[in-house]
Amino acid sequence: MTDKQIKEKLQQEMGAVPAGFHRAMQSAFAQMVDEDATDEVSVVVESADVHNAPPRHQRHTPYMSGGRARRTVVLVAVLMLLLSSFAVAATVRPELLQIFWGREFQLDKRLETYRKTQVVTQRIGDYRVSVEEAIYDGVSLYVQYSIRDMTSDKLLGEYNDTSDRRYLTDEDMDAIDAWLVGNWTDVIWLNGHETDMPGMSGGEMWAGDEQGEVIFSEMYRLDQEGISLSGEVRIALPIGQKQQQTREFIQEHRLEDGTRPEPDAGMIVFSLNADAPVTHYEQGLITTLPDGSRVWLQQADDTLMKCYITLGYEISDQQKADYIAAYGEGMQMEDGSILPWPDAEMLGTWPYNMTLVDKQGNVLCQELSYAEGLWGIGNGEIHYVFPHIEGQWEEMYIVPMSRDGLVDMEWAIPLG
Amino acid sequence: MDAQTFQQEAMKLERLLYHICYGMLHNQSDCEDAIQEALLRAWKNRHQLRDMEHFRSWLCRITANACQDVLRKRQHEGVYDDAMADNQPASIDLEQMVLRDALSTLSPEVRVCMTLYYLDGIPVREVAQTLEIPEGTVKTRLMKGREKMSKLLREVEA
Repeated sequence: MTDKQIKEKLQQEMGAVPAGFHRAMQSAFAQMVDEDATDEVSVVVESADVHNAPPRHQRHTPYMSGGRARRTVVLVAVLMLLLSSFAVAATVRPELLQIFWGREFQLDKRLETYRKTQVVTQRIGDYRVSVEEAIYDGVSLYVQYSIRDMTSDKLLGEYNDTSDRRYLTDEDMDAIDAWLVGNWTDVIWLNGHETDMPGMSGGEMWAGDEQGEVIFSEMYRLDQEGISLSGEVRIALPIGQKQQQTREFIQEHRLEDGTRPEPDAGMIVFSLNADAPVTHYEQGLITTLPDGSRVWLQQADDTLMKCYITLGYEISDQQKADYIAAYGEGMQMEDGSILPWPDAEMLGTWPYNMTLVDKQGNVLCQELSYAEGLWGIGNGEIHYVFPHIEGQWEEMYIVPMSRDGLVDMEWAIPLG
Repeated sequence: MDAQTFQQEAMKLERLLYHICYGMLHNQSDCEDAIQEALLRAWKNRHQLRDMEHFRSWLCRITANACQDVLRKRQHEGVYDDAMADNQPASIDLEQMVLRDALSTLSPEVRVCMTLYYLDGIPVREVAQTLEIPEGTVKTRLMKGREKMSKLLREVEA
């Protein structure tokens, strides 16, 4: 099992942060007392008895009531009123790409041509399914869709004033599971070919502004499955009427290459222009770093959205020897055997804070945005995501940066 | 540090904190208790944090300690059993069930090391600082977890 597979398995198990956990954090915040605050109408409700109260408190209750000074009760009442008025007002519907790349993310205007909105809407029984947005940047496919139970007369989720979104409750999740329409299998079909959700992909779901509506945002790192799309691509999402496919049924209907054919039912289908410009680079010069490891650009895909970089590496015999001298030959197993240390284990800490520089060592992106930087270390490869930078690729380097923002070009790995 | 700064910085770590909690507790309800406890504890002791640069490792350490307290409480109450993991999604597919079972067999200490290292990309040294254990112990736990996961998943796939 490779490190990449372990990461994927852990990602699969952990999933996104559950709404309950998010609410628990918000609830804790609401109990914090800010003695230094000068603005009385603060996000934080303050009260001396809250400050001295035991930290453990009832979950999912942003504001406590009872046993308070009158001023605090009034403040709570006003805030509750404000919150409830927000709860019926429209929330912010973040743009698809801001879900993955942060609120500040701005799409390069040249990619607008490849971004499709109001893609397709279908009414299936009592449900409305809408693919609202889709874009492929040359590496990753992003899709946002909503499903609405048209018979519902209530908004799903609970309003969260930090994100200005409604997060789904456990009860909502149970209800959505019971819907007759929605995601019924964990793969999608691209040009009729089954595609599993690749490693380093992800998604989020939250409640929409219409009664019974839930919104999904998903990102597929297709490069991780070796997929590169071009032209007009047929995309089929299994988010229509839920289908019951047993394990036996799936086995029986597999194609010769082991994949499943695109199902006839339960699918929402649309097409997308996948010709967004992307520049592919591979196999850069091998550099020997001061610690003895040999590192090179394995491949990079520079899109107008992000620059995805994978480095290859080998550690030296001396590094291995030093590591073994410090930590032993490997992991001692219960049966007495020794499992050798994987290379990733013996690699130093330099891959954790890399930045892009020019040949003079000038940092090309002063501050990395949300979700940029290191994405994972496997045996023999390291994955990064950086912003797209207009510049001479041949004169660019990737180099470790200290906490003080300094780079040492002795550690620079050429990208060209 | 004012409340707004504290909350903003903590929210940036939301996913990481969840990974610590779920890695150690494997139970959503306990995760929610632990994170509340940890945040309030951290807020109360915020004056101990002298350098914002260490906010991440400081809050992660407090969160890990809060999880340890929950584990101790579970043991004390005789309900320590990862497999019970309540509040799980109502419908999960076979592969997820297998994976969940495999991860359930890892000890909380091993699981949280695996999560921080593989999922969050936290270097071994920082994992060690966060959990207040030697680096060698982190490496041993990672190795143990890797081996056990591979073995269990191989058995199931066979």
